[in-house]
Amino acid sequence: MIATIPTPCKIQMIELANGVEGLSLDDERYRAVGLFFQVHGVPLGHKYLHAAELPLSSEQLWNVAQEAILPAITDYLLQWDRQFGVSGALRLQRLLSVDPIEKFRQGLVSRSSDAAVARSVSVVVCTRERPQALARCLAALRESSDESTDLVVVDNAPATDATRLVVAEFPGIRYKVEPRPGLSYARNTGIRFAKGDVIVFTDDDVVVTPNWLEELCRPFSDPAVMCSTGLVIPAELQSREQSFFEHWMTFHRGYKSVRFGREWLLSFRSAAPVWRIGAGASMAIRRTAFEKVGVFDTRLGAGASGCSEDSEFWYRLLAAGYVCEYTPAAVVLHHHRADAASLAQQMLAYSRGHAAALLVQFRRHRHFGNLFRLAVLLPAFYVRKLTASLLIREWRPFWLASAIGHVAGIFYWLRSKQDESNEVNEQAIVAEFPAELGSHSGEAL
Amino acid sequence: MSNETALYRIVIDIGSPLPSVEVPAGYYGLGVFLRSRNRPIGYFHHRAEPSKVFSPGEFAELILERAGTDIIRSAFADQHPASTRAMPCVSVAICTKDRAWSLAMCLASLEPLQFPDERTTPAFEIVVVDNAPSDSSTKDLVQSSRAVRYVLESKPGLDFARNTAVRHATGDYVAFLDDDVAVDSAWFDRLAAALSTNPDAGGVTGSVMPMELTTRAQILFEERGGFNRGFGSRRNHQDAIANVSHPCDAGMFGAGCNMVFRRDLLLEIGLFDEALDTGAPLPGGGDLDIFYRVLRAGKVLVYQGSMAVYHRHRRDYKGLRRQMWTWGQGYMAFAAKTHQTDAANRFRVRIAALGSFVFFGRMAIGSALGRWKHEWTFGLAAWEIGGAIQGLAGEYRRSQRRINAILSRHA
Repeated sequence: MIATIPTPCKIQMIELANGVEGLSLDDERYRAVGLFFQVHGVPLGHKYLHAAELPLSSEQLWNVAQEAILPAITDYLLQWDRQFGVSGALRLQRLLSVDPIEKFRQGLVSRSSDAAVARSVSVVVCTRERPQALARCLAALRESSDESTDLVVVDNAPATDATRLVVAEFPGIRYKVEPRPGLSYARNTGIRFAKGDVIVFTDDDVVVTPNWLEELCRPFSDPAVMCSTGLVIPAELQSREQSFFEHWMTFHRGYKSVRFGREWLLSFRSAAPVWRIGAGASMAIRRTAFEKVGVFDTRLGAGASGCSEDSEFWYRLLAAGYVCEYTPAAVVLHHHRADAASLAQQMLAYSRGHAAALLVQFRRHRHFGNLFRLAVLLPAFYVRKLTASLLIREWRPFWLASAIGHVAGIFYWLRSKQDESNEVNEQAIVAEFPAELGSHSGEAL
Repeated sequence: MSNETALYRIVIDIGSPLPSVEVPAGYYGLGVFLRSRNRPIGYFHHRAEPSKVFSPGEFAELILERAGTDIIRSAFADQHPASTRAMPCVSVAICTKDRAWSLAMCLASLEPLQFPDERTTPAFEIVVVDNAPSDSSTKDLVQSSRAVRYVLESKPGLDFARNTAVRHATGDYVAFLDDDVAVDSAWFDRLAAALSTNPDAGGVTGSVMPMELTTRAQILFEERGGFNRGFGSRRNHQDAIANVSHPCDAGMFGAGCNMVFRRDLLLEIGLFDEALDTGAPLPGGGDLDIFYRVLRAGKVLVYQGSMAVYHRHRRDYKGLRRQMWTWGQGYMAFAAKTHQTDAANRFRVRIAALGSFVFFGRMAIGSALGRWKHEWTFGLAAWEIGGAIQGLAGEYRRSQRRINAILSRHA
């Protein structure tokens, strides 16, 4: 069992294309440093170091970086090479003859040339009463997108006009109010309001990196891909709570690109771990996908059950035979909840949303693995965590909140099942896409 | 013990064109040792039928599949050659007891490193410590060798011998080798590289690869994980973002048959614990203890995977079983000692010991059900657990009493 990262921990991005210099911590406050290594802007690995392990000379840091990026860079290089169909002996020789960093650059260049032409893209940010975070998010979003990108902010059940005022500071960003509280309502409104063929979602607690949008849309050059997701790394690890979240609930899905399809979904005896596909804080979906399998389930998501509206949507996509692709080259930084009260609240919301989503998935697809996870695996997991919490006092409130959330999620679903108006709403939104509203949506719902 | 598992040991230099490879009759697969620019870069097993032939293309595919990251690491190393460096001043200490034939092999592997390129002054000093010998064969062997010093330690026990070696060594660093290993031809060069990159290192450990893969016991040992900890380079520090039990899971840092320490550091932290590694009653744990104490002194312990030695594993199943017992026992004796002496890390030691029992237990159940990786048997897992229980049940204190008796006899 890995120990959680000591806080405060400094997060640092290191570009390896031009070599590295030595590393030392200038601020004595930090107890650890998280190094995220990238080559030509593509993230390939990370390593957390204790403050006592610093300083490192350039050669020592290079060793750390090299070991951290080896699995991912090997994966990329072998995969690119395989496409050319040359013999193993020649491939081995080629790999050894060039600096892997240079070879990686060549691979990136050849990859760019076969990328599809720019398509019309809308970015939807759903927010609720977090004007400061939103301003930070929108500023970064501006950097990542060009003039042609349609940027939309959906203000969810606003209590004040703070959000509207922030958006007004960014000319060209469109603003829309969704009075019904709930992230799914807001996202569905965003879908209706957006103009693009590809609709990209991100959250107000996220800061996107400059080539995020380009990378996130790259998988769409393959017509089978309906949804792409990206890498989410912590923007900061200042508090113990943020470290706890990054350790146990991380959005980090690794540095290797992964394709998910129907076979993957059906290859699990328990519920398919659809959350591994990515995070709703960084996902792009083709507009046609909503026509085919419906929109986000308004019973799920923040403001309703708590979360999992994104993963439940992916579940539907995969079940209908479409492909989701995780592409770690698209990077966003996420600000985790910083204090104990909001983390406990979030843990409760997450496990409640997850339990409700398992029931929704079971009911829709009759995949019994969802019930198995709900009734056996998760309770066993919470019992283990609560037992461990007896020893480790600081975990206690968070795992307790999770366990309570699990039970609450089941009751939430039972109640929402009686309230059929939710499903009616959902169909009403689907009905706004007249094209192709046929067998697909009927089958999916 | 049937020979149906013997693997053919093949050394491949990936820099030159690959040969086509045939698994000879009587062998049931390959043990592939990859090298590049005369240093070890990778090692893997591949089971195959006798007389199966791999074309160069197929063999390259196999290498890419099984050792892809090692190949890329090697390509990195080619592009980032280390800076030129001064040779460190090293004493190589070999502690031995009544195994002159084995020691001869170890010394033979060191000689070309000690006198490279027709040099007449040795690149490092060799000290052989003869531990409570029953005849003069070791002494005779050493005296017939060039530039090897002979030291007698009459108190029986590996750590008595190691401490004697430290006192007699003249180098800044003391490298400890067992008498049943042969060093790789790049061993000294890679040690020098590790010390040049990490001038602050308190110690360096390296990889331990199998010298032969002829019996089932030897292959089982390797596939259990052996001593192999990869070919990369790492800096271990007592503070790290690692397991909760770090640094009490000291087996991760290296093995006693291939370890190097700063001499002044060893003297400063009070040398090896003579109550561990005592031979028959408690033959293990001394290496774990010294790794742990070097880290606890706040020093960096570097792992240099390319600094390799080849170890002759026990050939027979009984010997392997004995080895497993020793491992469990040595680890728990070290844990019991640390629990007693290092109050600050008590919680970590408990977690580490508990974690080992969980691991051993899963291995035992898994192998009984036939579900554990490879062909590990319930018997071997059970012996490791048995050793562990004995190690925890006061073995360290009993060993201390035995050592005190030896000391008073030799006083």
